[in-house]
Amino acid sequence: MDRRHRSGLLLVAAAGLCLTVTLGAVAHEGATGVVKERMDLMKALGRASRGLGDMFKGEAPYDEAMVLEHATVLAESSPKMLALFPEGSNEHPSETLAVTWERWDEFTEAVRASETESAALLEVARSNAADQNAVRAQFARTGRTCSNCHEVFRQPKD
Amino acid sequence: MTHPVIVTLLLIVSAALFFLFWPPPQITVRNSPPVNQQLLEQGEYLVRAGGCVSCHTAEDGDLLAGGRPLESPFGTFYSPNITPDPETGIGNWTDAAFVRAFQHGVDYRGRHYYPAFPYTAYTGLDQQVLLAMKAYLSSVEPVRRPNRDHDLVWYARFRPFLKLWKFLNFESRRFRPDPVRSQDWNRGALLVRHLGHCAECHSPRDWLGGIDEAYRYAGNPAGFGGDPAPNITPHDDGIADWSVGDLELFLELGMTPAGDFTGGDMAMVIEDSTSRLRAEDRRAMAEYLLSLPAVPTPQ
Repeated sequence: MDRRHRSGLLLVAAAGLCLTVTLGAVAHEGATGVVKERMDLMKALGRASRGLGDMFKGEAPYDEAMVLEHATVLAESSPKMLALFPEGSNEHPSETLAVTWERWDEFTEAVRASETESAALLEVARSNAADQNAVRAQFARTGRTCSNCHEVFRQPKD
Repeated sequence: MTHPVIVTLLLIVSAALFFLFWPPPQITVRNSPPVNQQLLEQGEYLVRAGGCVSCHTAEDGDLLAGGRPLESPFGTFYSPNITPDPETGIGNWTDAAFVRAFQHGVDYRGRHYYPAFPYTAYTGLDQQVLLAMKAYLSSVEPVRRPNRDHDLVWYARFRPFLKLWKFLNFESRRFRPDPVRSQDWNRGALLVRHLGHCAECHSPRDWLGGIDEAYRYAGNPAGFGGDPAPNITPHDDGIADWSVGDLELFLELGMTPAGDFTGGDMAMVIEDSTSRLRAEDRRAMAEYLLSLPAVPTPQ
């Protein structure tokens, strides 16, 4: 093999390496990254829901400022959800079912419902946080939208 | 020598036939309650608590008109129409036939029901409860929808064999409150054991489809055609670290103590049934569940 060929080989190898690294990075961005991001978002939603639940159960004092804080987390996180479900992003450890992208319109509608209900919850928390029954009723409606999505699009827990 | 053998065989066969085809008991209903608004409301409440709506309403189908599939290792069951349509529903059923269906697990003609209809749990309900439910069911919109035949494996198609299944797994017996326990506990027992029939999903089953009594309420990790069902006894595998308040909120909203919202079949149970109960009934169910013996989840 002469020198010219060797440098050509080197060039091809270098190009191949670049391509591999780039693809790897893209795959990482597109999958693990977004799965983690949405798991973090779900955890934030869970913490806020739990905070409200503790007050309804009487395990924490009913505090209007905290109601507003938790409701704000729910209302601001929900609209971020849809963008965190790019097609096919359900590899391990994701619990999202493939049916999500087969029934994307239905999924979108279900997520929009959670945006609407959590926005309504924030409204109640702003205007009427002292009325525990009103907050609880709207929180129940918001939670129903969470369950509706989990019912169809999330792996069952065992 | 052959004669005694033949005679013995004939005796065994005829005993078996008598056993399998023995007619079910007749029931008499003497005092049917007068139908008024209060009875209808009571009946609707009980129908909700009994979970009738979830199984007897198909996805996008008419209320209580049936047709919802229930998968099982023995094939797919399709729930029947229980609207008051006289031809395809239960409009022509007498009170006695209705009560007998729940307490003895047979239809109006006396044919055995598959335990997909959880009469093993409903048998605890008394006439008063059942007739309120019937009054409500008779008041809903009649829907003409002929029942779809179950789609079962060949060996499960011969209904008289269900008599044998019932002999092994069923006893017709009403609920009697335990005088040693509180009123709340007894209310919870009635709701969890009988109306709510929680054990049907939350227990493992043997090869014949009967509940494995040693693990009643200890969960069914494999599921039984449906979703896996968790352990609901106060064991570390189950709800040992749940408070009564946690369970109440879960039955109302579907939210776990961690702030997660349940999905799967339980989400439907909560939406159709437990979220519609009175708060004190959810509390009674929670108290009863936490009083169960702690049993590890079967492997």
